[in-house]
Amino acid sequence: MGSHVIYEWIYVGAVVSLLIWVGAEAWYGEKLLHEVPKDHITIKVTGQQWFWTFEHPDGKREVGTLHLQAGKVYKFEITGKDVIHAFNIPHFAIMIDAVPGRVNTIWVKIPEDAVGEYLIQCREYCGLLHYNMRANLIVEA
Amino acid sequence: MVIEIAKPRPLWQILFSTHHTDVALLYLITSIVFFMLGGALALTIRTELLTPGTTMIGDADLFNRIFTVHGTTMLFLWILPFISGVGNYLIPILVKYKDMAYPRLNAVAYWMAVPGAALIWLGWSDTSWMAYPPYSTMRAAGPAADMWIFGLKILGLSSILGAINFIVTILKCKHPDLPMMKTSLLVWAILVTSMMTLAALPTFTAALIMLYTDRLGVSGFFDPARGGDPIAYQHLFWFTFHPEVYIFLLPAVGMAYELIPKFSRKPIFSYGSGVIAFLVLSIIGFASWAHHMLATGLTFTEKTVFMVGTLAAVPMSAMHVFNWMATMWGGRIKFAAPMKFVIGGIMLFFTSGAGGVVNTTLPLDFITHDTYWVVGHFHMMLMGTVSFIFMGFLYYMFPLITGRMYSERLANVHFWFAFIGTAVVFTAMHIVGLYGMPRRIWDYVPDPTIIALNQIASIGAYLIGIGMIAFLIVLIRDSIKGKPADMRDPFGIGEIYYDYRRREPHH
Amino acid sequence: MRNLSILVAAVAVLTMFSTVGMVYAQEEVVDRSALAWGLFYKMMTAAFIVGAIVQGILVYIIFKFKEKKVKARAEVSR
Repeated sequence: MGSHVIYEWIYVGAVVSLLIWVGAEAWYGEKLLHEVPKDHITIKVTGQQWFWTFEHPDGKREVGTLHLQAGKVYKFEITGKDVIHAFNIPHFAIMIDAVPGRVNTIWVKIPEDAVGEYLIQCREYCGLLHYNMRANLIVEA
Repeated sequence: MVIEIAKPRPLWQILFSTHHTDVALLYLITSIVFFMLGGALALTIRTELLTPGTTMIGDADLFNRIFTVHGTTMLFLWILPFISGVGNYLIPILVKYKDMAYPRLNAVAYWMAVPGAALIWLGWSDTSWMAYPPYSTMRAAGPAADMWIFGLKILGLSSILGAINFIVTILKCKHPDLPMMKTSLLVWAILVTSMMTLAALPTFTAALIMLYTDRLGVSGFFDPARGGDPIAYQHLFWFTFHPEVYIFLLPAVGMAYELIPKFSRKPIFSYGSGVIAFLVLSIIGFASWAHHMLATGLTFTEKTVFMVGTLAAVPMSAMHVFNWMATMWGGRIKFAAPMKFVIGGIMLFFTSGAGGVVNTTLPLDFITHDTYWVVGHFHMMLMGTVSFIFMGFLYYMFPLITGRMYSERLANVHFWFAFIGTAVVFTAMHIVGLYGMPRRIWDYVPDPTIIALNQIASIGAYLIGIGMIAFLIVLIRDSIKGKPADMRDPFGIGEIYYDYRRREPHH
Repeated sequence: MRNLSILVAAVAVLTMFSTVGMVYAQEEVVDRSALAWGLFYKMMTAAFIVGAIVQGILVYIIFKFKEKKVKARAEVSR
């Protein structure tokens, strides 16, 4: 049996190679998403039980609805007021926790052709109405 | 210890015994009872999610309490006591000692689990089993959350006592003529997990105290208004509970190593690589905890480090799978119920493992984190692999415990319903997660795809439920009137069975 | 068999180097969702290929080495 153990190590080598490839791909993707592009508009997002508040750079505040423009780059500065929430727009793959006492940032370029209405939701358990902590994202041309 | 239901011993004799088989029996019965109760809660959850809006549970508060108790029960009152039960039964037999090293401590560890379980089930906390502050410290309703904290505290201490007992039994009480490298791999699995328990659990125990003082308002460890940080709790929590994932998994791996060579009638392909994989994983398992927190705003470097740590643990599991398949290769496999469950477990283990690798690739976290994808992923592991191998092992131990044989036909019904149900429900959960359905929600967006996938998942859950009814019937009926087993080789595989002649408790 | 694994390892290392180069060369603003889903499909393709191999071998073992198919021989016991 002993001589056959070499197959196990070959197999482990193949698994490790595959994992290195997975890690490299993931690292590359994350690196691309990490750097915030220079021309961006900052939106301040606050999550609290159980609604979202958005503040535009000009000081305009919106509750439960967020208006963005297609083709622009937005940076969200996200925080929580009471407990931990998670700011999530499934359609644009945006997801980061809203933690009290911290500001997390995430950015997105809204594509030109993305005009429409999208769901914003909370993805971290935050109590009674967690299931219904939703908001509307309206992308305008 | 063979229970002769025809000539029962007085109940108090089992309850107050310190003999390892009696304590093991108590552990096993407790764990199976809570497995069924937790399963009933799971079916309630699936029924509620069958349609959008109220289906069965009137309000979100009750729903939140149900999934909290379901999670806590399945992890701490099914998997952990089952491991202790099997360990208590078999470790003294496998290391050829008369009992556990500290029989009284053993009984104490079991009896601590009872008030722990009572606190969780009487409290009905709504914190979720992770109990993230500030929700758990500031908003969660007392006394339920306080009872949850104390319940977990007691269960944690019980685990630590059990772990100490296993380590001493294996290392100090092993028969001198039995070298460590000749013991069963199940012994290695229990040894490694016990050591991991000792290293990992104190962190959570400390975090629970901090959580409680925060709830009392005398400290602000996790309160940003008082200079604390909620994320600190998550680090403490996952530092315990990522290794805990391997504490749940490795005994199942050890049990698979116990069953596969016997039912394939071949020696283990490579005993050494099994031991190496156990030992390496017990160290690497501590290097990946923050992959549960990739969305909390970690820096790029932290994310990379924990992704690498996570990927580094994969080859060890892959080695086990290779070892199992190479052991079966060229064997003469008997597909009795234990072997069926193990092979089903291996199939689902690959699925959950591959899902885990996909999960950890950083940008995918934006898609999958805290969705039903994650729920599907870890249930595939805990139900599909760990619980499957546990149930298979319970069938294997059935003659040892009862002196009788289970009904192979009903066990077959159990297996197929459970296997198909598990595959259906958790695959559907993976997919519904990709549609962005968050976990822990009482109601979801009434989108046709999401509704359909939830209904498929619920049907899968009912299939598991039918399988579990068959399981219960086998357990109860056949331990009372199953036909007596041939105790030397109950499965007819030409392999030695465990020493069953431990009838008389010596205390 | 061994050459194959060396080849796979070499490809993996080369991919890594090339990705490092690409990261520092990129300037365009990426589409976050397209990137994440692209990666997802790539990973799932790999997972399903590996899965098909592993599960295929397992199913082969189940059918090839079941008790009825293999003639009885001297029992091996540890």
